[in-house]
Formats: sequence, structure tokens, C-alpha cells
Amino acid sequence: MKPKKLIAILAALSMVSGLLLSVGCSSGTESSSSGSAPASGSVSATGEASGDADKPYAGTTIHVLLNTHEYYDIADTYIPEFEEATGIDVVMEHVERVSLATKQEMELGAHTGAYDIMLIDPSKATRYYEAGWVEPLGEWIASEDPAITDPDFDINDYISAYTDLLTVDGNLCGLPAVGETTMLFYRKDLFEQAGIDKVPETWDEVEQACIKLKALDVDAIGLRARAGEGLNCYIWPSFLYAYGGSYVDENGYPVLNSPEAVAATQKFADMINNYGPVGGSDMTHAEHITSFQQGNLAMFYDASVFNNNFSDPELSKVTDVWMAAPAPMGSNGQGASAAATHALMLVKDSKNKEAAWQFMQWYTGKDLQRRVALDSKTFGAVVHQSVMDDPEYLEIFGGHNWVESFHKSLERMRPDYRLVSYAEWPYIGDRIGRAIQDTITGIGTAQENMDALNEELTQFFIENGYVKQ
Amino acid sequence: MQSKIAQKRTLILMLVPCLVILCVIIIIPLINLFVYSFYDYKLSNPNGMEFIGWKNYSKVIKDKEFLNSLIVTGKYVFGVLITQIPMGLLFVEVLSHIKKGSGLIKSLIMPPMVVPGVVAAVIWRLMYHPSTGLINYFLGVFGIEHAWLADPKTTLASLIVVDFWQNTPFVILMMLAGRSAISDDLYEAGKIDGANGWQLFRHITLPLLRGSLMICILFRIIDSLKGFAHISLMTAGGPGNVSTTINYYAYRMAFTYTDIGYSSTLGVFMLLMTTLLAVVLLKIFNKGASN
Repeated sequence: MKPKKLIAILAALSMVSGLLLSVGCSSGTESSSSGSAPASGSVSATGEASGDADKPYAGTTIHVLLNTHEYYDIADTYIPEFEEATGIDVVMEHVERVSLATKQEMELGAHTGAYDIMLIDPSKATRYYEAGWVEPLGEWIASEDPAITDPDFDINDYISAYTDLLTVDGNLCGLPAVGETTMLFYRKDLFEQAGIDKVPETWDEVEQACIKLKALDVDAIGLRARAGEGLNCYIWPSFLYAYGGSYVDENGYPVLNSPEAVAATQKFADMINNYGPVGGSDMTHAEHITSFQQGNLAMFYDASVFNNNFSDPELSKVTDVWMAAPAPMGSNGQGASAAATHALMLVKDSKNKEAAWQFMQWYTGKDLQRRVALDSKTFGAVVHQSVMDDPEYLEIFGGHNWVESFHKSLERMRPDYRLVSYAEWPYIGDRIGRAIQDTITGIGTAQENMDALNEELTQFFIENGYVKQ
Repeated sequence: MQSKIAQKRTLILMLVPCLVILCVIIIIPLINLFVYSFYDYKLSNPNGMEFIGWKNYSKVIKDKEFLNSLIVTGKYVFGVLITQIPMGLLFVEVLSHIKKGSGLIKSLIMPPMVVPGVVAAVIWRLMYHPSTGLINYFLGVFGIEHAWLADPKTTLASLIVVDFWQNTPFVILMMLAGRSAISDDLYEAGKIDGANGWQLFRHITLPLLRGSLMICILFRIIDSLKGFAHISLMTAGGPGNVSTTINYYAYRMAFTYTDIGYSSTLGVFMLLMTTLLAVVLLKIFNKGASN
């Protein structure tokens, strides 16, 4: 054999063996660090721990993927404190929420294990749980090992409406970080000008207020209209339940074309078309927030967290005149408000579960939440009851009737406000949202759209085993 | 003899990187697309993939959403062609008669082409805004206030306008290249024979621009079929499903609902459609060229 050829063969062999070795090494790392049950000292088994008893997870790097939110903007500034205290390196990544959903489901579905913690919200909890993407937290919370779970960690201090929504088959799937319900924001100065002396408590009263406000030549009300399970389907169920409708009957069959559901949809469409801004039929909360801040909108029914947008003098012209009221109900007392939370989930494929769990406890914990709320003076969407009851918190956020309205609205929350217990809810919700928006924009009547929707969903529910046969 | 074999070997070796890349980015994904289209494959299904034969295909045929997206796509492509191609021709014809300043005009119309689709979509969404947008601001002088993107009657037309703004320069560029290849002698001869402006255009410009025209039409059809940024950022397929094209529908199936099997089937349909269109158009083009 010629020397040149020999060199080439040897070079090729060395490359192949190098490749095989690297594959072998990486698979060895995976097997040694994987494991689902909480086990103290498992990090040291990977050889990553420093040996320091106070910092059992020192040297571990965790990757966190979350949406963008004011809470994270502020809380992230405290992360160096956590890193110093634990020796854990935190690589934080924030992606806008719609893009995040795509990115994270691709990662989870491909089981890359690239991230240890991701965002979970109630609309995805069942889907993620049934897909086996999320690590249930029961055993972690119950652990009496202080190296796993901080003895001061109190799951009961998290507002139960949020943890209940994140619980699937008795398994908690995430720790809430930000929480909200739906409430009515309104302008007290415009109410006075329009001669409205009673804050609306029902949707019929809201409509009466709209008629009076319209005379002032302002946009009377802003409601999310764009189709989507997290868009118009976050608001429309308040109408559905207020007007006596429901999603399904006792056997689980959809009843979205019932007279009550059709009337609710028609009322929702009429409110947007008759009393909302021009182009309101395709608007989301984003446009309404800006409009309310600029003083162009008299009422806005949406998520409670937007109080900070209206109180910020740099963004809002209505800092002194906005008020909050609990979610309006039906005339006969029935109705519902939403509850939603952005939560952190422990990824099933994570290779650093113990370290990631340390971070989750700290990042969503009451101490950090209190600091973020009190330091920022704008972020009030905390998830801990003890923080909400704190006198300092109440001094900052207690104005505008916001705290009282928050608690009253949360009492009106229904777990089936959206059918989030169905794994295919994102698809179902989008389909419902489409029928609602079609009604708003006049593509068919409410009856036609809800009939077509109900027929389609009935078939879908049967195929997916959601009905009692 | 030896050198010929060595030469062939060199050629084959030089082709290898290209073939490998082609294989990785086109052939393998294409095979996967066909394979997945026969499976019930949802990323959220912990049981993994299940072979279901032609079920996805029969579902596509019965799917009202697919039919709607097909109609929307047809309207969109038709709207793009019917506005951009005549405008391209008109512009080239006008430019050919301008002696001074045509270079400046050409430079001025090109910028929209280099604006990224995402940026264009965001800018136009702001301009279309019913209460704060520039378009309604000016139309307000005439008492017009309209929700261009929110009204299902104007949504698609509004999207076609954005595509027109962004992509007509490309059509003009292609036509200009074709027009510059036509000898002035032909026009001189036509004029001597007494042909008027329309006759010169009809019997000289149009037939000799056929090549550029066909390529333009083909490119615009393919580009419109795969159009995504404008729709995603300006309307998200709405209101309702008024602007949900096949491409956007397949995207939602794949990335919002992670239904890889069904979205692959939609991908196969799109592939067949574009291939069929390309074949038909090239046939027409070749037939015209041979005539």
C-alpha cells in the first residue's frame, strides 16, 4: 500500500473511532443522569457536584425556556442571587408566547431534553401531561429531604384556583408564577359624564352603560374578537355561562348550538359590533390596552393583570380615573370568570431535574414574588395568598378597587370556563373561536355558525373518546 | 483511456458534496413527507406513530377547512397575478418611452423588493389599523373609515395590495430584462409599416416577452403559494378563516396542533399542485415558443 493511501485510511479510521467514542460518551452521560423520581445527591452521581454540602447542585447548568412577561423581566434581575446561593448556572431564554408554543412543543415532541424548565399554562396542562412531557410534582413537593425541597416551601400558599387548573388526574403539572382572572376595567370620569351611577354587575347592565357611553362619542367597550383559544375564547365563555349556555351536555356531547349558546354568541358579537371600536371584529387585547391607556375606550373586559398598564404614568393617560369591577354575570346570577396562570413545568426529559426543581421553588416562591411586587410597584399579578394579604402589597395595589374585584372575580371562576381538561383543547378552542369570529364579522348567522361548529365538534368528540357512548 | 476514467472519477467526486446536500435537504425530507402522510403521527401522542394507510388522504378530501383554504389560495394567487403582471407590462412599456430619468424611476421602485416580508407585514398592519393607521387617516378626508383587515370583504384584497407593493418590482425587473433583449429594429420596421403603439405592443413586445412573462407567472404563483409572513403577521388566517391559505393551514396543523401526519398529507397535496402547475405552465410556454 502506498504511504499516502495508508495515511488517508488511518485518518479516516481515527475520525470514525473519534465519532463512535463521542457517541458512547454522550450516551453514558444520558443514562447516568436520567431518572424521574427525586433523589438527593443524584447530581453528585453525575460528577457535576462540587462536594459542598450547602450547594449540592453547584456546577449544574439548567436551561429555562419561558414566555415574555413583566414578572420575568424583574425576577430575572435577581437570578445572580440564586446562582450565588446554589452554585447552579441558569440559562434563561424568553420567547414571545405564540412563537414559544411552537418552539417548545417541537422540543418536547422530539424529546431533546435541551430545556429543564418550560412554560405551562392550564390550556396546555392536560395535553402535556397525557403526552408524557411533564414531570408531575407530587413526589417532589412531598419530599422531606431538604436538599430536594426547601422545608419552608408551602404549596398551600399558592392560590388554589391556579394550582387546581394545573392539576391533571390528581397530578400537579407546574408551579404558577403569574396569575390572573378576568374583570371589568372602566373609566369613572366617563361614567360620571354619561350619568351612569351604578357600576354594571350584569352583561345587560354593561350593555345599558354602553348605550349611554356611545352618546359621548367614545368607544364604549373592548372585547377580544380575534379567533383563538387564548383570544376570543378567553372572553366569550363569560357570555356563554351568563346567558345559561354550556359547552357539553351530561353525556359529553357538544351543545354549542343550544338557544342559550347561540344567544350568548349573538350578544357577544353585538357588543363588539355596536359598541366597540371600528375594526374591533379582529382585535386582540393588545389594541384594547393601548386604546384604554390613551383614553379612547370607556370599558375593557379582560385579564386582571393589565392594571399595571393603566397605572403606569409613562404609558397611560388614565392613571387616576380607571377603576376595576368584578366580572359581570347573567341577570339571573349565573355566569363565570376565567382564571389563568403562567407556570413553570419540570420537563420530563430534563437531565437536571433536582437543580431545576430548586430553581422552580425559588423563582415562583413567595419571597421573590413579594420582592418583585414591592420593588416594581407595578407587578401585582402574584400567585401567593400571603403576598396578596401583605399590608405593603395592599398599599400599592389596593387602589382602584382592583384587589377586591380580583378576589370576587376569582370566586366566580369555573374550571370548565374553557375545556382545558380536554387534551385537544387548543384545537377545539380555535374551532370555537373561528365560529364566534365568523358571527362577529357576519360570515353566517350565529345559528348557522354554531350549528356547523356543533356538528363538527360532535364528530371530533366521538373520534377522540370525549363522549359517553 | 486511464485519464478518461480518472477524469470521470474526479467529476463524480466533485458531485458528491452537492448530491449529499441535495439528499439531506430535499430528498430525505421529501421521502419523510410521503412516509408521514400515511401515519397517524401527532407529537403529543405518547404512543408514537401508527400506520393508517390512506386515511389522511380521505380526510383531506372531506375536510371543509382544506376546501376553504384551496379556494382562498386560488383567489389569492389569481389576485396577485391579475394585478402584478399587467402592471409589470404597463410599467415596462411606459419606461421604454421615457428617454430621461428612467434610471431614477427604476431605482425608486426597487426598495420594496428588498424589505423583509416580516417587516413589510408589520408596517402594513400598522398602516391598515382602523383608528391609528395612515390609510384611514388620509381616507378620513373623504369620510372613509374602514377596518381593512377585519372586514372579511376586504381582508384578502388588502393582503393582495401588500403583495403588489412588495413584489411588483420583481415582475418589472424581469420584464425589463426581457424588453431590453428586443431589438429596436423591430419597432422601427413596425413603425415604417404603419403600426400604432398598441399594434407594436400586441405584435412585437408581447410575443417576444413571452419567455419573461411565463417565468414571472411561474415565480409569482410559487411565491404566492408559499406566502406566509404577510398572512401570519397581518391576519393570522382570519378573520375566521377568510385568509387561511393551504400553506398557512398546513403550518397550523404542523406547528400549532403538532399533527405531523395530517400536515404532511397537506404538504403532499401542495407539492402535487405546484408540480402540476409548473408542468402545465412550462408546456404552454414550450408550445408557444415552438410556434
